[in-house]
Amino acid sequence: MSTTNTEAGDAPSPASTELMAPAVGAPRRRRAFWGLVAKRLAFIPLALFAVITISFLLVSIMPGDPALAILGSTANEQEVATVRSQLGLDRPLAERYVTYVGGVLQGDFGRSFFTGQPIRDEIVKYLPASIELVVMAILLAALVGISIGTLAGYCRGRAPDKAVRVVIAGLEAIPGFLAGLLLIFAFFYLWRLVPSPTGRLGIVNIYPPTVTHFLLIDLILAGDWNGLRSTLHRSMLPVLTLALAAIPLFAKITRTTVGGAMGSKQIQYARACGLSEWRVVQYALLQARTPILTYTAMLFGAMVGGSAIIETIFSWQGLGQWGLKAIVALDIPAIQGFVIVTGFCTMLVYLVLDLVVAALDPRIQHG
Amino acid sequence: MASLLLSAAPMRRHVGLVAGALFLAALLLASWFLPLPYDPIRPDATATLQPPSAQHWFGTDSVGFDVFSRTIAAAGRDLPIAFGGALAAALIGVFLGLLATTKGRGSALLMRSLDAFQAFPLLVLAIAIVTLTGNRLEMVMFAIIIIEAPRFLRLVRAEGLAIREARFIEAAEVIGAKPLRVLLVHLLPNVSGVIAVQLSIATASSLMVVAALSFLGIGVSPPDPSWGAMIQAGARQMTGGQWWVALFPGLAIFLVVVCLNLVADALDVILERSSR
Amino acid sequence: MSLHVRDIETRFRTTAGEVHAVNGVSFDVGDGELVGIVGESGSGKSVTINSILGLIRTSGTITSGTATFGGRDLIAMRSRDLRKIRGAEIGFIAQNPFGALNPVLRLSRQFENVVRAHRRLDRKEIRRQALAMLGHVGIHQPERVLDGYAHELSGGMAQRVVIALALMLDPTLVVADEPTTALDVTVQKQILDLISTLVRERERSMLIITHDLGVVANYCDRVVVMYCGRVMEDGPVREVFRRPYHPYALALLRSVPRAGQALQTLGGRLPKLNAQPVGCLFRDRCPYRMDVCDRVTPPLREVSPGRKVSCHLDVEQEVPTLVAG
Ligand SMILES: Nc1ncnc2c1ncn2[C@@H]1O[C@H](COP(=O)(O)OP(=O)(O)O)[C@@H](O)[C@H]1O
Ligand SMILES: [Mg+2]
Repeated sequence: MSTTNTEAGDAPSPASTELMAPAVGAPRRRRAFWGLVAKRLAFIPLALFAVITISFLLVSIMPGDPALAILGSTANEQEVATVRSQLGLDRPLAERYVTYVGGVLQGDFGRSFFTGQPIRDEIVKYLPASIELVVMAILLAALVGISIGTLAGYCRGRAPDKAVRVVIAGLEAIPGFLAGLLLIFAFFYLWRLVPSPTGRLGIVNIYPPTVTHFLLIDLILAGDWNGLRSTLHRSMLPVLTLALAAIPLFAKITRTTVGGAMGSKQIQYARACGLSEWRVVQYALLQARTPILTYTAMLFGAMVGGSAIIETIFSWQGLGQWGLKAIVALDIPAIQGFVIVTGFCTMLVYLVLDLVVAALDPRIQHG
Repeated sequence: MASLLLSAAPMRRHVGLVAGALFLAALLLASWFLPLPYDPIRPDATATLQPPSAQHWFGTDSVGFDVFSRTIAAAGRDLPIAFGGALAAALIGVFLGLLATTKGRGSALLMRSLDAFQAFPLLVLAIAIVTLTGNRLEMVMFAIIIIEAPRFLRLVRAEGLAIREARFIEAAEVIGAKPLRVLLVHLLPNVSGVIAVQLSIATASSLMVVAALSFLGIGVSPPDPSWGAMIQAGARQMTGGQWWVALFPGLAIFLVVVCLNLVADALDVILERSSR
Repeated sequence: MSLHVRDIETRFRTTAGEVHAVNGVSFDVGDGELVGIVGESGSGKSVTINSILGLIRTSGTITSGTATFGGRDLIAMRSRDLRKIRGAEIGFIAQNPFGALNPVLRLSRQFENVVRAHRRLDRKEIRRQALAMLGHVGIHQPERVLDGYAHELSGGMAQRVVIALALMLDPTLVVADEPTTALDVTVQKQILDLISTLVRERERSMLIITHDLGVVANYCDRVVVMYCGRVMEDGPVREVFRRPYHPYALALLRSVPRAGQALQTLGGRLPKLNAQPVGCLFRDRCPYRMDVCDRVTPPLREVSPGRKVSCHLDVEQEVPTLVAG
């Protein structure tokens, strides 16, 4: 990243510029930012291409024969050959690749081996639920993680810091699916605080007419407040479970960056100016903003994998649950579609957050 | 000098290292050599879903397996896979990481591809790979390598670049040391500390991957005991109140991960101290 | 307003043990007086003023001392009350403007934050005052500067902004910690002229920290020479420069500093400050070392009116006069 150096080593500018006006005006910066946006957008086709290739290679050059994996070791040669030709595995690699990429670019991911449905329809049906889950979980995790991370960074070395570090170490050592099961045991079985972990809507509620495929939004559009309440109630445990896995990551990066910022000259100067401690913490968080956002992007990939398992536990009916089912059933076109969509989504998040970072930091020279 | 500083490190850190390592060793040795109260792979159909008791310390599951025996036995399977995977990832990651400290197009290209690769949801990829290649145990290791090796690579490269800045490498190159010799003789020993720390962390996170995979029934062949699969077996019981089926294997994972992180923390402090 | 500092001691806990950074520092800044603190890098100048301003955080503690400012002891004061003094009654000028100013907030926001920490004023009024103040510190396009970010400025301009911030609330004492070290040599003089003019024309007091004897000679009324967290000599600039009493001050002046040139370090190294120091801390590098220097810490004593020295020698007799050259 091309930020200008702000540390002590910053070379003083020559005397001749001393009386000059500010070097870079706001309009120029804005134009440069849109240039960066354009550049990043141009990168999207490349990312898509890479994802499609990975998903293609997954089936094509992995050791072992997918046909054999589907049929099991008892299959005879005839059956294997049939499946191989169904998969197109009997044609040359290059030809298959071109066909596949061509298909995907036209939105044709093939049909499911088992349901016969076009994969694209399934993705459109299941993806929004996953997005809702991951977004809610990330928001919750960011809120909690950044709060406790800030507390720890601010009180570095003292009791609150030690407590937060114990919490982080504990949460890091619990696999997400175990946390989910323990939460189900406590909140559903013991205390009866939440409904059973089966799907997103109660039996008495009816699904709203599909408009956006996002259940929460569709419920709001339909004005079904009871349904919305029921859905949110049922979302609590899955969202909490997924968030628990991400909280330590947010907390750690925040603790480190805020802790570092607290010792910086900038914070010392802010205090020397008599700013309140709230304001000082706000300054420290501003310094921590870029690393936290960058980290969120990296976290997203892990969240997608984690959410697949959590969705399965809570019957969330999202893309992750669908994808895992496809994987276990060796529904190869579905697996490929799943890999492409999840991979593409994470790369997209990466790009967007990169742009957000660039938009927020006035020092970045968009070149 | 180094030993003096080492002894000045807080004793607490050594306690963490020793306690963590002892617990892990004890668990592993128990699973290999200790006679277990019940056969971990033969269920007793007359004793299903028994709560913890004097006969069945951790209770039994819905098939009649003794949870205690299986929890201990699973350590003998899960830990070596996790450690083996982490070790393999370390070998590959360190090798590529050292190469990436050399200047040149290749190393820039390598880092770029790594960026793209790590942006991918790697757990999803790992699950797909293991399943598509026929659910074999070696492929679980392969999945671990895919996830962990990039971390070693980045770490070793960052450390290596910092060390390269130091004079003596330059001096060695000036007097005509072969590049490979520079990597192996001068760089490798200096990054061995961070590798040891990362190996401990990577083993912990590999164990999580192994558990996640076997929770999904991937990479395990029943009735072989595995913590993840045992938690899966207890998943349905959670809504019925039979918490012990999933809790005890879960606790095992938790303790092992905590111990590995303790060891990593302690190594970090001790090694960093002695290198200063 | 005047500042009276007495016997400040500050220590840091580090992984390598305790660091006794400041070991009993006393000095005064009178009304309308410009006082310079000089000393080699690491002699505890910054820690001293940070102690006075309540900017020492977790790893450090002030173990003794008082700093009386307008009748109130800043050291004993609750941090809430001290916060209200910082920035309003005591203005602070940082060493490196780019390290101090917030890089991601517009300067107008930073002016608002500082003013609002002390006064209830609306945004428009703050802007008006900020523009006027930026004009005072010699910024030609204050509007543009105020609506921009710190990194868009040159070093000299950025330091002018810091000066404007320090003077915004018309403090009675200005503290500047090496205000020009981070700047280009040609800009240094402009900035120092600016600060001293502004302070003098408002009849305010100022404490300026520097390792540049030329700065002291040109701008200060009195000089405090520090070494290893202690005051070695304290007196009017003219007199001290003409006839230094302390062997350390003598050595400093002999190293012929010119304006804008950093202090040359003398032979030998600063002693380690890991234990409670005993005796004179300069003894290892002192040509006049006596037995008593090892055992007894020389007190800071008044040798002649307005001149203080901490040395066991009968300085007026035994320390040679500075031979110009
Ligand atoms: N936060 C800290 N922790 C430990 N030691 C410190 C800290 N701040 C300053 N010191 C030590 O105090 C001494 C004086 O430092 P300082 O006041 O910054 O010197 P200077 O006169 O150059 O401003 C130095 O030896 C420094 O190492
Ligand atoms: Mg200083």
